[in-house]
Amino acid sequence: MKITRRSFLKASALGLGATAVASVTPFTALADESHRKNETGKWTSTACQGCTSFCPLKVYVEKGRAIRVNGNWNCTATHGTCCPKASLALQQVYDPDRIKTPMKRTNPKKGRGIDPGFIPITWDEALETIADKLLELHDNNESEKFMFIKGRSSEVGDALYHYFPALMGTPNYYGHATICAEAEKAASWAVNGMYSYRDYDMANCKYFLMWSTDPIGSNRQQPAVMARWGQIMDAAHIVVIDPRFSATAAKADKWLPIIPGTDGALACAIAHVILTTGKWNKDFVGDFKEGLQNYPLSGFYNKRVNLFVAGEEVNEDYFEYGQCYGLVKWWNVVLKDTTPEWAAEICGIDAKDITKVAKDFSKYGTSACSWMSPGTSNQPNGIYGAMAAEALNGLVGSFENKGGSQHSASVDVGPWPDHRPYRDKLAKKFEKEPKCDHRNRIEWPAIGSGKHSNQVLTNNLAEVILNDDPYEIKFLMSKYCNYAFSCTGAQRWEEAMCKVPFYVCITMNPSESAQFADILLPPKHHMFEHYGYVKNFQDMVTYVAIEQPVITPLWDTKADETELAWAIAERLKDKGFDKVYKYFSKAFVDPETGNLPHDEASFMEIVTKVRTAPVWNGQDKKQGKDLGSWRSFCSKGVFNSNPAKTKKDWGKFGTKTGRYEFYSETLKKQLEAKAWVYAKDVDYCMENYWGYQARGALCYLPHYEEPVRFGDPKEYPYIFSEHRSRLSREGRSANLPLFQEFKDLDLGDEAWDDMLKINPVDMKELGLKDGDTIEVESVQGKIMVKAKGWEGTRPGVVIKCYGQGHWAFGHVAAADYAKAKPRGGNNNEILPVAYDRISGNTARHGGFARVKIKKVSA
Amino acid sequence: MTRYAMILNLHDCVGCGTCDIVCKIENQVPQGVFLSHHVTETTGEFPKLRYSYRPIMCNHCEKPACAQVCPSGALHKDEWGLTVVDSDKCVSCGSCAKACPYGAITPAPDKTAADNLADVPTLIADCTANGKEVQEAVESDYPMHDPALDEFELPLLKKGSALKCQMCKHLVYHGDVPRCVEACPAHARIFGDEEDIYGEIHQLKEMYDASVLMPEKGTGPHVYYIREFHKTW
Repeated sequence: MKITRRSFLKASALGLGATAVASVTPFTALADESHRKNETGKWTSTACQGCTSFCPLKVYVEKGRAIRVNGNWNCTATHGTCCPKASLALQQVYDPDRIKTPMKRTNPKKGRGIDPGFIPITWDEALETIADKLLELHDNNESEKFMFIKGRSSEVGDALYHYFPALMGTPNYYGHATICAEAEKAASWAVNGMYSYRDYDMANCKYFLMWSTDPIGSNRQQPAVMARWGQIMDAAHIVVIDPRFSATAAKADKWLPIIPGTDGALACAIAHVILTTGKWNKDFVGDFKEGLQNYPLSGFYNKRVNLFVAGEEVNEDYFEYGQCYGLVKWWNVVLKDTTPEWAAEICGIDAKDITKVAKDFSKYGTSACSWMSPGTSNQPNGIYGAMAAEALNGLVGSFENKGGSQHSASVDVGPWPDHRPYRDKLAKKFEKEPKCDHRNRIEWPAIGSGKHSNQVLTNNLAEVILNDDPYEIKFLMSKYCNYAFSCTGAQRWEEAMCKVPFYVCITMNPSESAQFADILLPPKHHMFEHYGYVKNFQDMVTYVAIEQPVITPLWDTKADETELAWAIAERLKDKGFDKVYKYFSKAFVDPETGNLPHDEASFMEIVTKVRTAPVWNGQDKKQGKDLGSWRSFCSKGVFNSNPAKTKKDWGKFGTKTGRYEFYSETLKKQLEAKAWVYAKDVDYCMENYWGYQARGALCYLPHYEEPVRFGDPKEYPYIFSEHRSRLSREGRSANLPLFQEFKDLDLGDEAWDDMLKINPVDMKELGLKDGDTIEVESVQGKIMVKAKGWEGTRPGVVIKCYGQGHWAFGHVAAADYAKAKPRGGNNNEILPVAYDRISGNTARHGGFARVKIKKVSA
Repeated sequence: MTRYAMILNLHDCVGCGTCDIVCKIENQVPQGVFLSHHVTETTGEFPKLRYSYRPIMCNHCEKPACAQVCPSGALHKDEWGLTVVDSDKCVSCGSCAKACPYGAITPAPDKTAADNLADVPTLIADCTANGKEVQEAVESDYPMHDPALDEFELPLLKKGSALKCQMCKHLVYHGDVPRCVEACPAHARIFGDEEDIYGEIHQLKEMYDASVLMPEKGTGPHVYYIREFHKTW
């Protein structure tokens, strides 16, 4: 038996007791929620939103101060642990550069490096101005010119981000989804019908095929993976496909350093080998019918033979399907020619390695995971390669099988109360109007949650604003996002934010975007200062975790998602527009007491209660152990679901055919429907609007599309590839001294610096040595960073972490805030704007930016 | 008798730095100083690479070179075998830092962690906070200050005094585990009594070929490393 820390602590209670030192062991102490014998504070429950792992936490609080952070030991999914990002949040909440009061700009001139002349104002003045501007638009029947954008939010965020703008009569409220990872969900949906991330049965998986997946280093399921990785290394094979040598690659059996943007070729070659070697899962996929012989006189009439022979087409009628659909079509159109030798040329990976991976992956079959991530899907036209990576799970029958990738356990939370009775004429009118992000246009299939024209086109909003297309945006409000830093082609956002006549930015720090704002509003910190909740899954368990005000809040702030929403609604009511206020004050009923909210604070708490009630109200829904009461939920902090069931969707996949689709009828239906709206066919749209190489049947099949690369290779000789930092709280860590002091935790990086990691062969060619300042230029822009020779990337491909390069945000993040001088360079200033148009996702990966490198100084 | 020791299981370690980070927060370690840190090494050539990550800290040696040269007796072994500092006695001579072969001792710099915070100026006048305002708002020089430290006069604030890992004695003396052990998400740090033959330290040392850093120095470290960070290919 493996000795874990926990089992040691249990066992050693006796041992330590004998030494007369220990009378309280952490293990027993943890169980009853007090912790240490001498402690005077208390452990409180909350949750982290430093990434989308959304981990339940315990915060030790002493005299209203947060002292330390641990994983919530009541959480099954995370094994009671959390990653280092959770502890970094302590420096975030106590960041001296936090905005402590509402403020407004006094300099009407906007631009990078121009002092906005911010001065403090009262909440009263801020709310008054905001309400006046909103009502001005409303009274002029142009409420649609109010746009709301957001970044990270908790599950109560819709009060501010959805229902407030909707009731104001604008359809233009947008999340950040497509600068995140929607292409990953879309790829999953196209083959298995599940528009979501997958869970993974790590305990039983024997072979991990990681597609640029780095769960040791960054999101998703990070704590669960960290807690399990030692066991996984002992028990399973791990192959990491990634252009860079990642934290997970460092602890894997094999690193396959793929040329960025070629994942589809590799996945198709693996599928080719699985089929030609006859190692697909016959029960799940199906098999050739009996009695099919190439040579009828050979005497093996009753045997099934494998007709998947490289280069040869197969008759569709010869195959009997199990749970799947369209394999023969996939083979005939794509796979018959995707040999390892073919892929080797494209991917830069040895054909022998490809064959070995395919053989090993199929050997472990039902307990082999092909774990696809944004690195593979968030490429220009990335959906098809990601579909191929995902489809490998179907080929070996591991999808929803023991040891495979899974449909996460479902947990119901409370619905939002119906807001429709509170709409006025304008709200009703604009609810039917198209959203202004161009999703309805022919250029975008924009498939969201499985429906075309249903996905937010986040990064495209810059074009909407810049070109007044379809109309001018007169009032922009943003919450917990920083698109002038976090969107590719970041320069466009600077221009867009300059152009908007009135911009209200809700932000904890004076971020890049904040520099263009007319009013800045300081929010409370989600982890320490307000109510909310998150829902997620890790390691086969879905959980609901509370966020609570666990410390004495600092500064003159409001919980943005709820208190601020209430405050604005109240101010609008005072000025004669009471729709939002009525919805907030009448539709939300405390499920415990029956009370209605009467102020900001009660609204914040009641919304959280309404939404989470099904996990604690005692009406056991058989989805896990009901917590019994709100008080218990606040104290324990987390609801754990029953474990995810394997084979949950077998026989009834969410696809059009109800089967696991290698030929995606599901995708076909949506693409055809989108083209039909404009009386076109899919091929015409592909050629003229959507920018994919696929035509005909290929449009619905997982396949390889040639990578998009911006820049002439002669002028821009290097392929630029980026990755995430293990300490980045979604781009908000750079102002924390701890982030900078430990930046070297990212492989190849240096403390307090921002490195472009270059293969030593290229370093020599460029005449560079470690630490040289270099200018990195693409067709989009240029940044100044340091050079670092590193073997973790191939010659010709240069690698850089995302997260540094802030020219605002705070005194640590920026080299000189007053002069708008960045520390390092922001990748988004050299990454051009490119999309996977089917999912609407902004591309970040796949090496689509070529760069040239110039030495500036030693 | 009890002999506290730590095992660092490199196989379970994921190189995330949680130990380093929580140590700095817990012990109010000033910027630029590290009581828990790491050394990394990337060997080989593309594409055959090996990355190793090794957490490092004070080894709480059996024969600590630092204590041997300490003129005032401030650095000494406590009854549990830990190498600790008595801040009252420390004369800030710096000889311990020079003597330690592991570089695990740093003379306290001019600025404490609280000073680091206090020094942060206002970014936007009257709009953003500054270090001193944060201190006032939380009524503490260091927002994450745990009063449990006070009992042991920790952290060491005197300029030049020996800053080193004291195995979180403010926790351990009350029967708890050091902060780095508690927070490690990979359960790669094991703390306990090495003399306890039923304890995990003893068992793991037996099970694996535990190693120590610089055995040739003869200091007898009680921080042991087992297994490898990477898989063996």
